[in-house]
Amino acid sequence: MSLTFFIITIFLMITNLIWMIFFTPMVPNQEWAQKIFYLHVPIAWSGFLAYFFVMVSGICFLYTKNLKFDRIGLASAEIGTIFTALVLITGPIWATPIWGQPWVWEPRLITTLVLFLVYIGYFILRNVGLYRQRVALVCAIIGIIAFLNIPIIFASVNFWAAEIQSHPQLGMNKQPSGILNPFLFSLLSFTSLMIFMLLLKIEVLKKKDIEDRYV
Amino acid sequence: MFNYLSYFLSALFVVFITILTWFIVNVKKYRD
Repeated sequence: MSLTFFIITIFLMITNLIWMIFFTPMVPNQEWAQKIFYLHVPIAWSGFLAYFFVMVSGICFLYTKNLKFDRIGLASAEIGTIFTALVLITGPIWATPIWGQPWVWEPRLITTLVLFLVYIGYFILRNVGLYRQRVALVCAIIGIIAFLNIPIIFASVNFWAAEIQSHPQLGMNKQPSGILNPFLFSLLSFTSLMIFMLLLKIEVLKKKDIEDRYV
Repeated sequence: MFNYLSYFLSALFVVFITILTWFIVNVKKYRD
């Protein structure tokens, strides 16, 4: 593992935290609750990026049947699921004071919950006791199909009727630079953290596969 | 001035603890 990458990631995360807490403007009516947005959205983005890696490695596995791609897929799926779980926790923490209730059954929340549950199924399937090549094959297919949900999550705010939406409709490019810049920096830091976690997890899985004599 | 600060700190705490726990578990596995 690259120590330099680790140090850069830690530096980015600490800078991100300081910027987020001390140097971002307070939004009227939301105040501190709005700052959850600097955690919530970048975590969601990184989680979806991890799921994109699951799909790409799934396709690569189907072509090559190389277990290296299964390890990349599994590592990405684990990190994507942790990040999606964090999205599903930080979202209701924000919604409690702002919407007055932690959960509303609206399209983006439901589609995100469905994605999370699909991946819970993915992990259950990995542990049912099939032999390794078969597990890898089935999981590659699930990873590809599950990714189809992500464009639906993105489009859900515009796709379903406006009156059932609770999510903010404002585009990011309309935000003032005082909010946009720290947001983009937070996006960069969390993406860096996700990639670092991914590389570490791939190494851990490779060690396990060597112990189990799959490599 | 500190409206909703507890909500922000809760979110930060959850994210921090989750990622820290993940790192502790996986660095341990990596070293073993």
